Amino acid sequence: MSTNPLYTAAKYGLVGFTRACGEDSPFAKENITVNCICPAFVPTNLCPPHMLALFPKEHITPMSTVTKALDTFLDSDSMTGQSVELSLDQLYFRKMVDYPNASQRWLGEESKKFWEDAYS
Amino acid sequence: MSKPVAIVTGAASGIGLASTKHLLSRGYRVAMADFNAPEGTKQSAELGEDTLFIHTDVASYADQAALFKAAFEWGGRRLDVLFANAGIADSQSIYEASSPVEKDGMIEPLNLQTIEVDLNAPIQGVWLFKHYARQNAIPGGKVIITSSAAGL
Repeated sequence: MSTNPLYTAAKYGLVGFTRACGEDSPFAKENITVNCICPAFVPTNLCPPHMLALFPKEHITPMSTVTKALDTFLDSDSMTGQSVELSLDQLYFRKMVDYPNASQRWLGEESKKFWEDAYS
Repeated sequence: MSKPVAIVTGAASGIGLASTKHLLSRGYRVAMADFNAPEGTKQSAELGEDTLFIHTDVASYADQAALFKAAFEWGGRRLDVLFANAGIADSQSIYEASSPVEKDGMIEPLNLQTIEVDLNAPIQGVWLFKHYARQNAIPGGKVIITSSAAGL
């Protein structure tokens, strides 16, 4: 979002933080779930008020999509580490970008024991 | 059994306020945190005694730690949900035409309050949440963080 690079950096950071604190983390073992919502344009005060009325209505995501996402996370004891994009009336669960090669897949999926030993 | 307890940051308006109302409809008690004291006090008064407004600057660790302590006690020593939602747009434009210069000729730093509020505060929030969620009758709880489609 070129108008708000600090906001963009912070929000990217939250997606990474959420994924790190998800199903492979110690939090999962103690029943602490961490998920995040990634709303598209929901009309709030974050948008300068004089511009709100001018935003095209067909691209507005309603608050009901936010509450639907909250319900999804509140109703599950196991869902964790998830980032869900909220657009219009839909929830889209977004995955990490794919691995470019087998070595990166190993690092991402099978090196956990190595890193646990390294940081224990 | 006592009602489940949630902390919502940025609860005085927007997504935080709508989510507070939604949590109330689901039977939660909600500790409403916001930087805007007049609006937060007003909204909490309208929503009734299953809410408690706690004036909080989430960028201040002391404020946020006090929020969690107060919410946990108010909720009957339980904390089930953290909705880390407070957020602000860019605190200063990195594109500004001029670079403010200090007396010694060095360029002043960019104001990174946005990182404090939008990123560091939710991380401190999870750190605090863990401490209290472990003390629940059934240990554990749920954190939901407001990122953005701009964060994907």
